[in-house]
Amino acid sequence: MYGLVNSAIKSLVSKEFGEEVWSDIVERAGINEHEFIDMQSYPDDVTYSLIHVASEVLNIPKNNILKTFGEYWLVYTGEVGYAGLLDMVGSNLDDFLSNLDTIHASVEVSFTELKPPIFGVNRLSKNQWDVRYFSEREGLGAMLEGLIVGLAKRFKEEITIESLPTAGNEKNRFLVTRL
Amino acid sequence: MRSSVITPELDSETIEKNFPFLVVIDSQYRICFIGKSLLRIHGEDIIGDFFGNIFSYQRPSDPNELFKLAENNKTNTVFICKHLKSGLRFRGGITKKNKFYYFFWFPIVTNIESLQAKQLTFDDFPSYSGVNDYLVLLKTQQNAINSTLELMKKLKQHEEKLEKALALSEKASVLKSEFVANMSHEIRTPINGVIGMLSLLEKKELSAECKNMLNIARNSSNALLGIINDILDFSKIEADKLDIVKNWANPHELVDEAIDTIIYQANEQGVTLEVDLTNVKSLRCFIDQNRVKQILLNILSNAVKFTTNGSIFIHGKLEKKHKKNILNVSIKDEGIGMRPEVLETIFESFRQAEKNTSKVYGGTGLGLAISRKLCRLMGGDIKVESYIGKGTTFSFSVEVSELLPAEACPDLKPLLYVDKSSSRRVLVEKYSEVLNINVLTAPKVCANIITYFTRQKKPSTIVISSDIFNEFEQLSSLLDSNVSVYQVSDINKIHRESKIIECGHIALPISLFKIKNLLQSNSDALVQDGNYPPSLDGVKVLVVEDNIINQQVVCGTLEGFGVKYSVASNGLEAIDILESQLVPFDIILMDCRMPLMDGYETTNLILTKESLQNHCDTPILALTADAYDDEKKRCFQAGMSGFLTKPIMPEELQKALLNAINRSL
Repeated sequence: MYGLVNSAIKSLVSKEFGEEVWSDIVERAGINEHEFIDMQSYPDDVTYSLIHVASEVLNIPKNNILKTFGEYWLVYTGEVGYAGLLDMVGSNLDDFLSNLDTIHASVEVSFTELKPPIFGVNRLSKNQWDVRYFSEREGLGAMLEGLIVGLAKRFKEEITIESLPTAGNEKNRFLVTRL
Repeated sequence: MRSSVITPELDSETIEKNFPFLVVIDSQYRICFIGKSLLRIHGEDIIGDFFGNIFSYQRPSDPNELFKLAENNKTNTVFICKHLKSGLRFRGGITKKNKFYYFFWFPIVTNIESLQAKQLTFDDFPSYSGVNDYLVLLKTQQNAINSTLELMKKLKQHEEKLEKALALSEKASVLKSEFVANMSHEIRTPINGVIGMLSLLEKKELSAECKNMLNIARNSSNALLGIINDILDFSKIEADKLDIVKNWANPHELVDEAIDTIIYQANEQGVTLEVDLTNVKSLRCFIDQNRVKQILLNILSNAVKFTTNGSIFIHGKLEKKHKKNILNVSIKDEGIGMRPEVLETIFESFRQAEKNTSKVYGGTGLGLAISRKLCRLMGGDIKVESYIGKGTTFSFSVEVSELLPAEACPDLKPLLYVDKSSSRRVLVEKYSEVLNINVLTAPKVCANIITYFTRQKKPSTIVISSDIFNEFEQLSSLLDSNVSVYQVSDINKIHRESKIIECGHIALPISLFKIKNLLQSNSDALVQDGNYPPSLDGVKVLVVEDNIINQQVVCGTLEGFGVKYSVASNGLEAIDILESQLVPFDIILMDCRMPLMDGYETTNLILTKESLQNHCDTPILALTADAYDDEKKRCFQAGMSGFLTKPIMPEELQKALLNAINRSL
């Protein structure tokens, strides 16, 4: 996982609960780094440990943390210099969802050591999308759910997300419906 | 109109999807088709207009050249045109087919913001163009640089915080040192009173019970003084203010002085000391003698403390290592020893070998930490080896900046040394070699040896071990008047009364320094029995001291020396006394911290004031409770010629007074 993800977790926890809580989490997770280099690849264990310890320290279920984090991801990346790029990915929910995979593919092209997820987004109708999520990593579906919620908020849309049964290599599958 | 030029090979969906910026012009160079993205940027009115009105030619700048390229179908040639309305520059390929020119191109990307301003999105760039990948790469690299700069900024801030914290800590450390220095002065003053008074009391007629109580009080005061000195040294080490002050010193004398401090207690416990410094073949080394003595005392007092019966062996060696002269000393005891795990922490501050060590044996646990620091400051180190029940060996080394080899002393008297102990006889022979003196050693007293020795008809010395002194007394008729006789024994086993022979005494362990002094008829090596030599008789001393108890201690001690004295309670009083005194004092003892006028200012006045001209050659000795080296420097800078720290010991005061008089003669 690249450092940007860990930095975003740090930012979220520090903003919501204070820097002392973050220091406590880092210490309990046995992580030496207090700052992460955004485009450097870190072992996945670092991110998983942070989420796991944060869940224990804050007494919040892990999936809730991941969901909140997914929602915060767009806000954070916008704040740390990716706002223009996000604007180019799409100016509405439909365009953005359809380019979700494009931007991750471009990240993979530029940074070969990173392994971003793959998205399959099918527009079922004007207001409905079938979002399939493929990843080598386990247990991050809640983060994607939060990310889609965050996208809807970005474009001031109201949506519902329904979890669908997965097939093949799919890690998660969601039916997104615009209200 | 747009679709009419599309050939069957290029269907409109493919064009829309893959060439969003496509421009098609006819043979008259009029635009007849454009891709959807360009259409969005420019608007419908582009159709039918001349290419040259919409785009400027940048590379090549001549349109004929450009279209020639198209006719040659050269696909790898770079050409650039600028879209006049948006300012976007385009590059790509140009080809001609069926009288139509096709421009397959994309806007040149320099930054995301310029594309964003034209409301272009990822959808305007098909994946084969690589533009989106480039945009992500560009942005992440920019952000990586920015976040690195941000990290550097944070590091800088962190560094500044650390620097501030360090400055604060240094300031706190200085304040602490000053506090400890002040406390040291405040604590030393009353201790001076206690120790001084006890030492005066020792000279009075006292019952055995009172002497015992006095002994306990004296030991307790000395122990308290030791603790204060340790804490003071430790605080100086912590504040990095401990200076090493080197002078010429005799290493043999230095070891003897350290031993003198503990020998009485050691012998009382049944512990004997054996010293071998035969490999220290120099009598003048450039070292910090006070600090070396401090290390020796720290180790020796521990050795005595933890040895209830047995011996303590001191070995010294001067050797050359990596072109440096190193003084190595090892002190081996036969005490209780230490467990291996405690040896690892024995040199750490406030550490003692066992948890109950402090309770049973006393001490602050600072002595060895201080010793290690001192060794390292003097270019050496200290190490320890120990076995439970067998004993402990401390070995330390210090660098000797310069040294002079021992000079032969041809004028020294010949020596006869009679002792059952073969090791001591060998030691005396070796020391005699270093001193280049004539020595004869024997295990027992024989008439022929005495006769042979006295027949030499020149002043000579006989040293007899006290356990065979009775046998020697029986042969006293053989002695010549030129012969001086001494008996040697443990300090508490001296055969004091000899009704037959007048003799002096030497305390074991035997040393080079004692032999040399003995042969030079120096009384330093003799055991004194409380009476000070008469050399200070009639000497006149002015005591400048504000503290009444200190006045009594100093004056009482001076009385014991037969010294005549006057007392001034501060600098102003001292000046008054000196101004009224036509005959100068022999010595002035000057306290430093006094009300109205301190010792530094008083000294300065004595040395410079016209009305005090006849006193300006009088030696002024500082008498202060401040043991800091800084204080010593300040006293010498003020013009004082000696430095004594309180609590003042009679022997030290006597020595300092004698030295001062000898220097001024």
